[in-house]
Amino acid sequence: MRSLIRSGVALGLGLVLALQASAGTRQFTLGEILSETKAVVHGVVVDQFSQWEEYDGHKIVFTYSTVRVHGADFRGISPSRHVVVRTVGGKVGDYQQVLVDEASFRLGEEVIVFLGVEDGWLHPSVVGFRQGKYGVTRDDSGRILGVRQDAGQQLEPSLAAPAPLIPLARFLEDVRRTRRNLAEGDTSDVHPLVPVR
Amino acid sequence: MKKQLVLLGALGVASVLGTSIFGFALISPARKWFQGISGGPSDLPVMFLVNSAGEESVNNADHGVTACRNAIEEWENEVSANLASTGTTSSSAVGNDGVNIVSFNDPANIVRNAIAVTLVGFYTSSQTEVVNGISFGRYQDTDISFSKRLTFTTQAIGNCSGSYDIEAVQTHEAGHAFGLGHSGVSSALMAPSVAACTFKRIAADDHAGINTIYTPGFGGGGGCTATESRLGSLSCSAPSSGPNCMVVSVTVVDNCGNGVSGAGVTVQLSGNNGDVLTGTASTNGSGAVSFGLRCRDAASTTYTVTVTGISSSPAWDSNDANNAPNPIVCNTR
Repeated sequence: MRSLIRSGVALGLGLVLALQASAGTRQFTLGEILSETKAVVHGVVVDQFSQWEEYDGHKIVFTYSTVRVHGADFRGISPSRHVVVRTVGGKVGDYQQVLVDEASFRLGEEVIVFLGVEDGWLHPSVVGFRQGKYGVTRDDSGRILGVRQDAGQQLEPSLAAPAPLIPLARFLEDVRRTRRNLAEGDTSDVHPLVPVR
Repeated sequence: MKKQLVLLGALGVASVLGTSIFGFALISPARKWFQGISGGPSDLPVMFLVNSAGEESVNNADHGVTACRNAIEEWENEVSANLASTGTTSSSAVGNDGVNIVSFNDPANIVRNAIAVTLVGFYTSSQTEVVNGISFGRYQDTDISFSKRLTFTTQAIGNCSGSYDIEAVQTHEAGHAFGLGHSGVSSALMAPSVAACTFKRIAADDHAGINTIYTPGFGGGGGCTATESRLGSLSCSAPSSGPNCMVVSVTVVDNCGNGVSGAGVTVQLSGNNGDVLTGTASTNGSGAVSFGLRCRDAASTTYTVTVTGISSSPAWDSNDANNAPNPIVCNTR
């Protein structure tokens, strides 16, 4: 996967979603996600902690997940071998806060994540909340089977029906196409029609 | 770029209900305000305080404060329980303070590119309350924050242009605060997204959801099992700029009216000059997919657009009388 991601990045792809529904819902379009993405990162979550943060009268749990980067497309974030992603919500002691639909990370999880930069945030966030984060699924031999959109924050992931597994080739093609569309000034996620000769 | 926004909510866990015929879902893990079942503690009515400054962009006397209060209380009309009370506050604190506050202009800087968000808090070791066979944990704190990037309005104000119905958004977020996740039924208020200038209200699916949480012995009320897919709509437009001289939009729905994601759609365009174009792509999470006729490929000025195939689960019933008109005639720009 390492080489695959890097080759994908070298081709100017950046890995993004095929915007599958996880709750039968309309989602951010791929173009919207990409237009706000400052880095696409493939890696493994190697560290994570949650903490209370109090500011301006607010008292909120934030979670910081460190992703060891296997491959990435850094466009607006300084390249680094480790990226710390900040998400709203988390568990401290026996108290849990959940920002409904925020992305969630687990230690050891292999992910592809689209990161953006929020004003006032020292660390990047996931663009489009859970819609900007994908888990990577491999077979027993280590070959990547595909990617699956995040289920969002929850304590008991087993309760959620898994999102469809998206073949990697399709995933990459969607990114290529959308990148091309964005480059041409087309921010809608349209699929080009092909002339039949 | 056309702004597309999402109301945030939890992934559905309708499976835990054993009632998958519904589109509604619960916050995961299931949480609610306790109502004193079997002599247990009661949190009802839950008090929600709306920031008295209101949302500046709402062009009425109290900048939407009353609309938000009414929106929260709309849920109470759906259940027999005395679910909620509302008031106002000067506070806009978000987080763990035991006070449920509705605030505007994203005071905690957590809304990002959503319309509004709901932050819920609970003790993981707290007691449970069982309703309709579902074991719920107990909410401790819920706060709702509206975007600082968007403008809002109400149906009564009218003349909507690019603004979001603050009442619909508030009712939706309050649904999360009462324990509902996102619904798979697009017409439901708890569907995860809403377009600007759309004035949705609580629907049958939402009613079933809230009663599943707060009405012991609730027996349901409808639902639908998807058995076939249909062509929901077929339309075209001619963008005034950009690489496409025509954009064809297709939606695929099931017989319950829900968008079918991942459906493979093939369209064919036959031009008045004899050229033919085709495209195949998959629908997104809403069951929608768009195709663009690039100006460089447009040899004709008028095209007959036909959906020639849909591969989906449930399978497409091309002969269904409820299919959208197919084909249609479109013009390039």
